[in-house]
Amino acid sequence: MSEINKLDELSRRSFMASAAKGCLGVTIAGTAQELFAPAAIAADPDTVAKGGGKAKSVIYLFMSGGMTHLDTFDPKPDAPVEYRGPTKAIKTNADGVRLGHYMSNLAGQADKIALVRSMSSTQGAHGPGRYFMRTSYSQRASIVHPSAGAWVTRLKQRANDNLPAFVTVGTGNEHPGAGFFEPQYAPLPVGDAAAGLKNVRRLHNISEDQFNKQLVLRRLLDTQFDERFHKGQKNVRAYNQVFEEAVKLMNSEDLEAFDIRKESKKVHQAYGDHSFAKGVLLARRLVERGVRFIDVGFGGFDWHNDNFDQCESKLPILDQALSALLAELDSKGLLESTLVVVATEFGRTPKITQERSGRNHFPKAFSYLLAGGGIKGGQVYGQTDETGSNVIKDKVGGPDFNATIGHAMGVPHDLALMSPSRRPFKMGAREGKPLTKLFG
Amino acid sequence: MKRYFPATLALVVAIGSADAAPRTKPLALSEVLRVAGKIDDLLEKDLNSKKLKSLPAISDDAFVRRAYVSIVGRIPTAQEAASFLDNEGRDKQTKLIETLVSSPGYDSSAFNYFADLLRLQTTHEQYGLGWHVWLRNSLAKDKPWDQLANEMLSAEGHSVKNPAVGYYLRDRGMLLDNVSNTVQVFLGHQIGCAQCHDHPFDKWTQMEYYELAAFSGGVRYNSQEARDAMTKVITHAKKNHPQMARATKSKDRKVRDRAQKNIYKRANGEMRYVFRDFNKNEVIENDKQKLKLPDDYQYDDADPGEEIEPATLFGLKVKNVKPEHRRQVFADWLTSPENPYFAKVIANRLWDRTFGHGLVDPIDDWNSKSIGSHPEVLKYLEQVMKGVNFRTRDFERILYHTKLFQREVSLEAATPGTEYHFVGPQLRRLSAEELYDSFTVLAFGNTDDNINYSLEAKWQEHKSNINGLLALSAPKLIQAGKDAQTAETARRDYSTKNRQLQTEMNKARNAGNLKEVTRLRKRQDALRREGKRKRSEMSEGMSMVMRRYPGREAKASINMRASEYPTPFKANHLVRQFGGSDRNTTESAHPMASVPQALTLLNGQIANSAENRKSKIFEALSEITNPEMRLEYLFLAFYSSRPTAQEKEEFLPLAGNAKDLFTLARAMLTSKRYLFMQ
Repeated sequence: MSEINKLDELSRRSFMASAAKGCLGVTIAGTAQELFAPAAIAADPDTVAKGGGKAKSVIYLFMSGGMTHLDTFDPKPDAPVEYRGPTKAIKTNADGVRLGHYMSNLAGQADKIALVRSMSSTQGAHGPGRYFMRTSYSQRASIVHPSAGAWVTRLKQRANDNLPAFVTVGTGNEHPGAGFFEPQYAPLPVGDAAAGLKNVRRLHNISEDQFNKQLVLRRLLDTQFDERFHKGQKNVRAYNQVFEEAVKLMNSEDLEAFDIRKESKKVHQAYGDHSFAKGVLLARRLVERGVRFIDVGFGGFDWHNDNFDQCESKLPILDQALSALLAELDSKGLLESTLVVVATEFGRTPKITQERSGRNHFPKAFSYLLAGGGIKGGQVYGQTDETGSNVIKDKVGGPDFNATIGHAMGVPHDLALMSPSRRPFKMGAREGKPLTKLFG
Repeated sequence: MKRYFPATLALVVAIGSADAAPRTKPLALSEVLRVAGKIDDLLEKDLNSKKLKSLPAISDDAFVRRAYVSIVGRIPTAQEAASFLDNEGRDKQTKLIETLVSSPGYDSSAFNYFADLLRLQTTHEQYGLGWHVWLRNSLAKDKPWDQLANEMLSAEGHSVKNPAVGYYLRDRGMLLDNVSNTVQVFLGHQIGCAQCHDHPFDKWTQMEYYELAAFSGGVRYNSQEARDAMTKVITHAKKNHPQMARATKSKDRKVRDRAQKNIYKRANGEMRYVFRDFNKNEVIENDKQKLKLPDDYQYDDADPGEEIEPATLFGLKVKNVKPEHRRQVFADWLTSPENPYFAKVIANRLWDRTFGHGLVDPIDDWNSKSIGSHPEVLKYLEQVMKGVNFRTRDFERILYHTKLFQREVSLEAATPGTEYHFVGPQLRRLSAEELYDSFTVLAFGNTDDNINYSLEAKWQEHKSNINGLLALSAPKLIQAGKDAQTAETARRDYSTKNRQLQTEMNKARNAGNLKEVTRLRKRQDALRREGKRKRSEMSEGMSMVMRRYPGREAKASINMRASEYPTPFKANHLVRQFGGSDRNTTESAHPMASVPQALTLLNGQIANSAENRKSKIFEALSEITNPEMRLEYLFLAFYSSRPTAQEKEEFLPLAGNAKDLFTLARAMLTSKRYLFMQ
């Protein structure tokens, strides 16, 4: 047999050998069984009785910088002008639910949404604020806590073994990700939704034939190494596995989930042109293929200056993409199984600053939005006073909110897992209580 | 530097002077070899008692790769490997170790290790860059580990005067966490649980935690210099506004207070943008400030909110510590040779770094019963660490000269947290930085001398800017304040205009009016150009206050090693993808496999390492015409070895044409033989 024929023979064998289940962004350090059975915990009957456990996926939209509550989800048309500014409250298709006038598209979808107007926190700086809302814990220098997405990944079985369970889109460097959990629960970060996943196509100068030959050569070069170390070294086995998975993914049909160019022009237009809108569209595609948690970041909400110019410029982008998403999920029959949330680190000072017509950081009161995944639409939860300065009814903290996500997904928000330093942590921290009233 | 231990203990702890110069010269080689031999004897004795046999010595090619990766943090170049293999000298191993340990490559690799341990963030505010430069220089100059730790833990002042304050600024506002990190990093104990309640598995109580943290109870983070400058401005303002100055002396208290407040508010407003970040980059000690128990303190030995006196956790006891000496006493206690853990913990950490497993494992979860797998070795290493005066380079040098360092790796991975008999070192994947640096070797050859001097230069520039600012007279300070305000307003105007254009553009785009979009984009470009022009015309004072993150400006070039970059790397960077530290928690780097790593090696630009016409490998291959020599070159470049007879037979047919040869090179890059170190 000639050398090249020998390679081809090996090539066939190596492709037949492909075994375990797929895992992108996942560390393989044990047997497939250990790795791919993340605590198959069935939804607790009590959760189901309270309307939870209906969601299969979460689309978590994070408005980074601190989104103004007075101009979006908690408008105050009767407050003095130095509070409300030029923002008007508009009617929606849900009785008694009003929105800031920048959210005109969403007004037509209000029957699908629940507004929580009583969010409150004590974290007034951006980094710690975002960290707290995403993890339920205050930022510490000695540990990194898992984000809500990592908790869902850890506690809920995968729906699609070929794709990662947790994806972040445009969330930047500071995302807590898997925290102290094993790297296998870490999100796969996508920087630019329009560009999709990196390095999943062969380099243009490499033919398929050469590529296959390369794979075989890799095996051949490692023959002796594998003879010595394959058996006793987990990490060596892991490297065999990830290469197999990588090649499998390159040939996988699910890969096109990351390619938003597959969507029609009409759909692109419905979501809008901004990179955030592309992220939302990508999230919808991933939900359709069983990805559990997609965290899409939208930066630049820190409006110390020119708050109302900023509203004009930025909020329509959110309004358009969010409304398109809700409409599409509804028409595709995915709304009941997909929890959509709009989160942020804090609100903005109700009183507009004179010199700069801006609003400063305000953790005392702010608003979140939830839709789908068993949430009853057309409702408002909690209340702030007449200027949006104090929560006067049903105060909700970050841990409560994350517990609510857990409730919707049917995972135990109060299950304690140990950190490597052997301290117990929960998805909803010590105090989190799910907002079961929001569920239908 | 004065030491403030109570007099009775002063004798025990007053070893060495902690000035900037190294305390001792490097150890003589004969002494290094003697100590290394003793370590081997102790290990051998242990193996004999367990009826185990140590593994055989490794081959030359495995040794040269291990020596380069372990000591200088990168693979050798093809030439470096060949020259070692061809050397027939009997003590060539010893000589290579000696050369590598004193080379700049060692400094680069050691910096990555300690930066991860200390959670260094170059790009954090302004102090981060100073801390980075300080740490890098300290390690290169062999500042002993106890001195390095002492300088950081007792550091006081503004970061431009004492960059070691970075250790505290890193955790500004999170002092209690800083304390648990300190104990974990330097003393190998995890006391974090006791921050909120008595430790459930260990003996530490919340009270003990607070007593230890109380040493740092006086730490504050605002700048005395900024305050002095402000006083200058206020005095000046009073002189120029006699009416206001008179009001501050009014008999009516209300008038007096209001005037005082107004004058301060005004000065504050004027100087706001000048001192915005500067103000936070300092650590000062407030003698009157004490640590208090939390409001939810639940035990009977004290009341919530009670002030706590400092006390040590173990080892030497202290009492009646003067408030102004608290942190110095803490630093002295922690780094003292009498401290029961300080020397042992760093010795064990470096042992783990060299051989892949701790004598005490895990390396940062000790308790009073930790004796490790080899109590005698551990005890001896502690002695050695003290004997080399905490010069970590010398300590590691000794480890590299042991027979253990030259043995084959064990076939079985040791289980983390269990005892290992050290029949040989552990197999390990190259760390993220080692891999990155090895890619630079393939592309550029030896990159050890490509130092990023802009880090130091940017820091010096920042320092002289700050010192210049503080030296300004009051009127000039006020002018700088005004300039800064003008710059800030200009910046805001620019972003307002830019945003308005963006809004219009979005509307036009949604309406499908592409002509309008083009017109607006042109206007936006013009605005950008104008902004750039204005910035270049700014006064020095203005541009200085605009430069808020000097660490980000210290750009490295492509032929430099990972240690030359401002860190941490961004989440999508190659170093992070391969498990490089995010510098959020101590030692967060990891060597675990992931699918994106495989995708990068298969399909990223890195896959073209050999094929890239500018790369060192391409250059070398294009000069070799003989297929056999080409094959040999590839093996040397990737594996630091020459192909065996069998390998020649298998791969020589590929070396005949370029396409197949590059395919082989790509396959080598993805092979475990490349990614791992035996």
